[in-house]
Parts: sequence; structure tokens; C-alpha cells
Amino acid sequence: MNESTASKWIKVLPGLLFMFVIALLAMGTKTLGGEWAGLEGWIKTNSKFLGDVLKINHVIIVIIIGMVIRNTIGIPSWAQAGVKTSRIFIKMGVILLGSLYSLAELATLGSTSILLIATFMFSTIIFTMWLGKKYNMDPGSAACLAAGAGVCGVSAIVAVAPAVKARGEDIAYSIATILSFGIVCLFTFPILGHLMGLTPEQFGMWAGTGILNSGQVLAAALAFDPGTADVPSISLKVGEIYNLTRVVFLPLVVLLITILYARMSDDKTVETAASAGKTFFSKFPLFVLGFIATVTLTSFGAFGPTHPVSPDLKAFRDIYSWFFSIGLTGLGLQISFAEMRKAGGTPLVIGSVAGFLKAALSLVVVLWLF
Amino acid sequence: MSEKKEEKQLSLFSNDKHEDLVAIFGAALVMILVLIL
Repeated sequence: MNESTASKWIKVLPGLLFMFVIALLAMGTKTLGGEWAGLEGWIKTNSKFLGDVLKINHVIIVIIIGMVIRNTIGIPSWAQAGVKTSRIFIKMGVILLGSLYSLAELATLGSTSILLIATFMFSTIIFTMWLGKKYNMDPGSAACLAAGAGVCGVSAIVAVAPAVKARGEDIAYSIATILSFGIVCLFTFPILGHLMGLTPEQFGMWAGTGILNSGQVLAAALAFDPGTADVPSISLKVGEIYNLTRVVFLPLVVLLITILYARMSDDKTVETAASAGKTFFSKFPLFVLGFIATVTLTSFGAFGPTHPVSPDLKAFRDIYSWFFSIGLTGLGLQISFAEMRKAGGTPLVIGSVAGFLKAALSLVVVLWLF
Repeated sequence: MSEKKEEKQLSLFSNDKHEDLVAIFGAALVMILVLIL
């Protein structure tokens, strides 16, 4: 490790500690062997409406604290580098989450998720690009928006942008639109899910299909059903498989959107058959392989029995809860209202229509089929 | 310094693949520590 890499790692430590303290404030010390139930416990004891009706738990609390800090005093300069690493905690949490599944469960959940995700993802992309063309949007801007609305939010937009020659403001508009819509989903999906009496399985399928951003799927699933080390969250278990299916589709989506963009813009220079394969492999999310490795190891008993659950597996569940809380604190700290105000005009209308239709239709399909 | 350059300097990872590999390594380390301790 050279000096600059080492100093970068040291620079992230204050920010990591900052996110950990916020997570600790929300979660308390119970999973660390203490007695304090944190703000989540305080809300449950003192407000029936917030605790029992709106089901506010540590996940929503860390996101709200993060958003309040970001949009009032701002992220302290000493914490900025650490906050930028928050996504890695979500990825490590997802890899550890693999210990909840067996290969057989993965095959069953995976086959239904592939069908549902593929249907909604590709139809949303085609619909958004068609609507963009109808309302004379720039093809690059429509392509970015289609990627965000169809697959997994910000990463999809960033992945598609170079291929469709999107301008800086197209990327900013699309990200702002998708994030604004996602924030609304993050807070409304769990409340609607409880009001409609969805089962945790149904909610997981709905959130995994209807919410656009990976972090927001995770947050909504945990907000609906936080689970414990003894009884893990079913909505998280189901929702994350749907989310990962979508993430795995990303390379294929980049390819499809590039082809659609070439047709819309008559730009023949964007994608050739030779570069198509390269695009596919360069966009493949490697951390999903870590998740599959954990599922395989768990299935072969590497971490002990799953019924009753071994102490090692219980420890994994406590650790991924902390990783998710830290990662989602970072998500909240990166939500800037000033950035979201960049969304507007035609992209906001088209993105919201596509997102709303996807959310509503996926709810109908989930209620109808499952 | 432009916003993009500053962002790059703050970021610990050079790209998504780098971040994914560090996540896999980190999670594996956690598993090993849990199994040992």
C-alpha cells in the first residue's frame, strides 16, 4: 500500500465513526450486549402513533438524522471522506445477508424474481424512452432517465451516461428526478404496505420491483419489517433477491438502452457488436458473486446449522444490521434537497409517471399472483 | 479545484469494481473473525 492510499484510509476513519455514532444513537446498545434501546426504543415507548402506526424504526431514524444534518449544518469537512464510503457497508451487509438463504431458496426466489423484474424493467425502459421521444426530450437525457427508472437508480444512470453521450445536466436532472421519487417511495411504501395489510413476502416483492434505488429498497424493506437475529426480516430477505436480480441485469440494460438510443438519435457510432460484450462484462456487479458464495457456504453448513440457527450465523445477522444502519446513515447524509431541486420540467414529469406506473402495476401484480 | 477532481480525491475507490472487491474482502474477513473468535 503506498503512502497516498494509506492516508486515504486514515482520512475515512472520522467519517466512519460519525456514521457509527448516528447508528448507535438510533439502534441503542442491545445488539452489543447493553440495555439501552436507543431512539427506536424511546419512540416505541413514548409515541404510539410513530411506533405502532407509522412503525418508525432505526432505519428510518438514521436516514432522517442524516438528511437533517446534510440539509442544515452540512456534513462536517472531517467526515466527508468517510461518508463517501458508506456504500461499501451496504455491499458488505448484502454479502453477509447471503447467510439467510439456502441454494434451493435462492433458486425458487430467483426464478420468480427474474420473471417479474425483467418484465417491469424492460417495459419501464421502453415506455420511458417512448414518452421521452413523444415529448421531444434529448435522446441522451431520455436514455439516462430510462436507465434510472428501469433498473437500479443512480448506478444505472452513471453506467449508461457515457454510452449515450449524455451531458452533465442530463445526468444531474435524471439523478435528481430518480432520487426525489425514491425518497417519496422510501417513506410511503412501508406505511402503505402496513395499511394494506401486505405480508412481508408481498412487501419484499413489491419494494424490490417498484422502488428504483438499491439503498432505498433495503431501507423500505427494513422499515416495514426490521427483524431480529432470531427472526430475520422476511421482507428484506425477499426484497434483496429482487434487488440483486435487477442489479445483475444492469449490463444487459446498458446494452439495450444504447441500442434504443442509437435508433432514437440516428447515431451509428455508439455501439458495435464487438464493444457490446466488453460493456456487458465491465458493468457486471462483482459483489453479487460474494453474496452467492455466502449462500453456497451456508447451504453446505460452513457456518453451522440453520435450524436452530448457530451462534456464528446469529453473529452475522447482528453484524449486517450494523452495516446496513451505517450504510443507510450515509445514504441519508448524501440526500441534498438543493441537488433534488435540480429536477424539474419534462424529465421530472416523465420520470415520475414511469416510476409511479411501475410502483402501482407491480403492487397489482404482486397482490394478484402471490 | 473542480468538483469532480475533489470528489475523486475524497473517494477511496477508483471504480465500482474496486469497491466490490474491497466489499468481498471485508465481508470475508468479518466471517473469518466470527468463526475464529
